Amino acid sequence: MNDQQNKHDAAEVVVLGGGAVGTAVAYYLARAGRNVALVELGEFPWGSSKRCDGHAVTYDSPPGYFSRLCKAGLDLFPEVAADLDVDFDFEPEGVGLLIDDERDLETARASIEGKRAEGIEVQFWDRAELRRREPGVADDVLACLNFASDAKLNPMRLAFGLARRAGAYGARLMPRTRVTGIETRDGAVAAVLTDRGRIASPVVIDACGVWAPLIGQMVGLTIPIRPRQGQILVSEKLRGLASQSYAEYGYLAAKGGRKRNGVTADMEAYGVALVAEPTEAGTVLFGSSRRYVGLDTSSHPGVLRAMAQRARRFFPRLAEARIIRCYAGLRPATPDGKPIISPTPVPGFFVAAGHEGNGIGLSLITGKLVAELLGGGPTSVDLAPLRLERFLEPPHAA
Amino acid sequence: MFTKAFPDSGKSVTLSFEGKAITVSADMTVAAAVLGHGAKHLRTTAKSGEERAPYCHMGVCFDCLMEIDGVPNQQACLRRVEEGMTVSRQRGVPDLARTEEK
Repeated sequence: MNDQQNKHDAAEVVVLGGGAVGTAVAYYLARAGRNVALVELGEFPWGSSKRCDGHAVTYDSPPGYFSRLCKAGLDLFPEVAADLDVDFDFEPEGVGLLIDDERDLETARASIEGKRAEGIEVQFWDRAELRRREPGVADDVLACLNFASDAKLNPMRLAFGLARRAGAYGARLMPRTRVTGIETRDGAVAAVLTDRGRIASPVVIDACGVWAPLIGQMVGLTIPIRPRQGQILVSEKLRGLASQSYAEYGYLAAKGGRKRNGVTADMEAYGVALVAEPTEAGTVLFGSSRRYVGLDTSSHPGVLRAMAQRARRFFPRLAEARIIRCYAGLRPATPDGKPIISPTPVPGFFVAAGHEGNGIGLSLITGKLVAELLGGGPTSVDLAPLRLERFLEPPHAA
Repeated sequence: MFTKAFPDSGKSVTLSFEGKAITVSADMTVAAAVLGHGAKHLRTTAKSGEERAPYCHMGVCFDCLMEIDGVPNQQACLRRVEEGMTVSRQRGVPDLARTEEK
């Protein structure tokens, strides 16, 4: 009987991928009254959204298009938090960038105005102010650039809550469902084939993160997303380490190639930079690392050691704390570091993936923009810089 | 159903639990020792301050956390009693600022 039913399944839009981005896309579409099916291989959430930290931030980009996109994404959280019936612990309590190099003080100060002009709240704490607010920070940290409205949240509860609310708005939730193919008719999307039957649909949204290229292949598209692994350490529940989240300014500054103070060869090799996030539960998450190791999500002792050393350099009290867990996840990275939110040369096939380390923070704005894109009207953010075409080879003249 | 965690040595040790001296078989875990002396709970929770006692006795549930010889958050079910040990309940979560002052 189920087979018989499934043969007649149809949807206006099928969203593939039940991470933060896919559930947000399904949520916004269902809220707009669209007949949506949300297909996920595992549960809600799956993939990178349950193997990440919980930052939704504006601090990690220079003023410009991407920074404004992150701000627009962050601004959507309070309204959605009020709409969901799952509390995802959204706390816009600020993320501070710790500065430990004299050479960074002036550039950090100079960067403030550009971010403020975008409506982003930034404060400069000198050493005395930082010590007063955060006595657990190492004595030789010179200053802090505090992004006062940057937020932390529980990404698993976010994606679970979005899926659940999408379901309440009428979306069909299909966990534990494997996509086996995409049927086209005259070159356009006609149906999604799964191990639970066929879903006739003229529109597919590929929100599969690092797995988005596998879906793209089903319609002959090359989607340039590579898994960029990141590892995380979790402390026991504790107090007195850090009162809010922090990251290191030097890593952003050193993207130009300059060597950071006190960085070992391992830290350089593994792309290690401090990120500290005290969670609502009382544990503290520590990152970060960046490696291209395929789809490997195993923890690597050398990376964990380098991350722990880097964290202790900024928070010496960590020496007294125990680490109770570690895990690794895969950031979906594109060649230019920006996501792909875009139609494709295949009519009806859209991509909403490639958010690298910003997938949680950009999840809601991605969902909103996809809903606007499918609505046919103008989008509230110009999507030209996020089009897939920017990566496609221009056709050679015959 | 219950057997001792360590082979029978026939010896006993004295330790301090919440400031009170207790003498127990040397072949026990700290958790078993304090439960055997009538303790109904070994820790209190971080948020609500509710009382908790060991559930699994095999290092998984973390409901047996105690401060042992000044070190917070020790799993009392995995530690063997030792002569002169100082044991107290873990109240909420450890405060690293306090640890630093010591």
